[in-house]
Amino acid sequence: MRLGTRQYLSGIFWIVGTTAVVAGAQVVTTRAAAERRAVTRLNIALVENKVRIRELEAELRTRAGLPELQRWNDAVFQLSAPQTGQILQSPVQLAAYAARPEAAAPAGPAVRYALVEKGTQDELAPPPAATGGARVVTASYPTAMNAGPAAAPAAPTTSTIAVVPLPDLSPDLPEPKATGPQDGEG
Amino acid sequence: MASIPGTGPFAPAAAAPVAAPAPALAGERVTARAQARQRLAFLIMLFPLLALLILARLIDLAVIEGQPAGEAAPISAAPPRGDIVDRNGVELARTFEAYAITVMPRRLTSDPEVLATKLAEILPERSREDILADLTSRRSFRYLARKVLPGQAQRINELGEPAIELAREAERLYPNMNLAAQALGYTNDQGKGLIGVEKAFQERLADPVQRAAPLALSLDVRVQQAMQNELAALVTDQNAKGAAGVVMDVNTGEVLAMVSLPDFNPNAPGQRADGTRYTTDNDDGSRFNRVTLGGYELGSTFKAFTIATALETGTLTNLQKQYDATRPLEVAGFRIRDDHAKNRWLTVPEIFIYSSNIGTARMAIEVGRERQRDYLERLGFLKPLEFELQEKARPQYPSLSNWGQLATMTISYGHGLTVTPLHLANGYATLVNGGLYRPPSILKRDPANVPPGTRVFSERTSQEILRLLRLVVTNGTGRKADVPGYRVGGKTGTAEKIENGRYVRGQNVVNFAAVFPVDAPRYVVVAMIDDPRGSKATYGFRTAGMVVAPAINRIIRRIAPALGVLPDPARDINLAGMLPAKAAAEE
Repeated sequence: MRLGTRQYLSGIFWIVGTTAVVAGAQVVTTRAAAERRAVTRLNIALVENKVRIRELEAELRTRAGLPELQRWNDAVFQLSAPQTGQILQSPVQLAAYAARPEAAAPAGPAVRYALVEKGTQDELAPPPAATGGARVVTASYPTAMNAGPAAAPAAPTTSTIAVVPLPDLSPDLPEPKATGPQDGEG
Repeated sequence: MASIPGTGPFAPAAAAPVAAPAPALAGERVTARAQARQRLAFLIMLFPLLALLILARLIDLAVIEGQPAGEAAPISAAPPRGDIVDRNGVELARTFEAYAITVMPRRLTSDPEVLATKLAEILPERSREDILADLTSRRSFRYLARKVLPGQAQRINELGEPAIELAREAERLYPNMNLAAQALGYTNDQGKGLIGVEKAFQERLADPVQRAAPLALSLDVRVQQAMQNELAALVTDQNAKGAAGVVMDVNTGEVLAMVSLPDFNPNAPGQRADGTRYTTDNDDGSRFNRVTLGGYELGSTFKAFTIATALETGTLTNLQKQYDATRPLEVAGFRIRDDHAKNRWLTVPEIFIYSSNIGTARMAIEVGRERQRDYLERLGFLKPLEFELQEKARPQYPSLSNWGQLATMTISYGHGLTVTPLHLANGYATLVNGGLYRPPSILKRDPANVPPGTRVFSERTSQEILRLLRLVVTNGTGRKADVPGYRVGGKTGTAEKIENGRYVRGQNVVNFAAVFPVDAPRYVVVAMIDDPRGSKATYGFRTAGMVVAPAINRIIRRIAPALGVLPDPARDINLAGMLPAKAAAEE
């Protein structure tokens, strides 16, 4: 092959090769740019959604705010805070509510007599202290303050100060009674 | 490059030969060659210039426009101002973009009368007359409405009036309306905090880096709501001028609730509840935070500090020590008397449960002025509290030269010294948490990073005070605060109100400082009512024991389950031997 022809073909090869490389690079660049735009669009959509979620959350919080719930409760539901006896102390106490079917049968109407006799059903109801016993454990310092001069600080001790009933867990008494003083006392 | 004059490229046309083409001359060839060279040189210069332009554009595309989106222009969901949440993450304040409707009256194209009617239908909160006044204003720019809902904005846009513009602007929303209004505060149109947390944490909330994360407060909205609701009901029942309330964790110093009544809606801070706008003449003080900014003589609740100081300094070594309360005390022309006078010698528990001013004053004399002042200083009662909010009152107390025996005696039972309800709550937290003073905080504290605190009282003194506080609720003036199972302790306080530096006859400030559960103290609850007038519910009484104690009862009943404090009727603090048989028999 003559030198001139080789140079000629070499030139064509370089032109074609360069064109191919440029075209390929352009395709890659274009695709990368397209992907980048897609990612950017996705990010923008995500942000827009987050902003929308914030707006909806704000609306939800406003509509379901505590002052609003309070107004609903005052006007409609009229629920009150639970009484002491309504809050269970342990799962054992919860189990006491699972009464046997016969225990759950509705009781008949109470018959009351016009003449009150000694020992009616109400009076014969056993006082709470008679149903069982449990220690009341208190955590306190010894009562040295009451007895004499100041002593060095002492560690807390426990002592038994009273006996109060535990709820009767027998199936016949499904509802545990509150044992403390009732609200509004004294 | 030489050329023949009159034959160059810019030679006048008149100079060109008009006749038929003349034979080429040697000079013309030279000229043509020169012209070709000039054009070639121009082209040679043009190509590098084009290359430079392309290079510049490439740099522009690659370096400037080609930056990743996140670095060039931040695409972020971070709010323009940080959110504020409570200790459980419930939103208390947040910012979002809302619509503001503006108008340029001079550019109106439609009839203002007709337009005002249409706008009034879309914006029911504004009257037609108001809108018409804005539309016919001589100013160049007016706000028609702000914080407009998207639906309203769309309807206004559909009116097609070019002088009306819809602008998106950052708006601060407080979803719980009046709840904790003074504590949270509000911002101005430029988004700058003016009072409360919004002001105290302005930099943190506006910081571009930090605002992405919400600011977690120590407040608990459930506790706040319960207290605010109960105190508001009490203010209405008593026709009182106001109220204040605090719930504080005694072991961390965190404030769980901060109530100040009357209150306001921070979403419309310039507007009163009746819809009118605040002016300097009709400001009802609803934006005034009574908890941190209101200074009050808090009365007998201070007796606990006097007894603790006496125990701590050794002037009182035995709670059964008796003090003469047989008759009123005459000092420097003043007469100190008891409201529930027993007219006999009283032990310390009796002094406390009967709230004897005479007995407490005698105790304070034994403690002495210097030690009394020292302990009040250590409790933080003689300076503004170390607290994040900037609205803080400076306590009022006599100067050292005026702090004589009479002042020592009156301050011992809470007269002659004004502090804020937050001072009182923090003082009680110090009393009952084992004796450690910690600055209170409205920010949520990490349990692992709670300040260690400064010891003021010993554990032993703290335990004795807890027993006395419980005794007041079981046997004393605070019985109506007792909630079965929650082991509530506390102390009542009633003091005459001070206005313009003078006592106001017939107007009281009544308060109650409670702690529960006393066998393992966790929370202090302080409630104060400003000038109760008595009601059917209190049988006309206006004392703390009749007015505030029942509210404390209801508040504790509501908040204790939410705070994880379960009632346990089988537990209590040991009160054996506190009261002599005679006093117990009187009960």
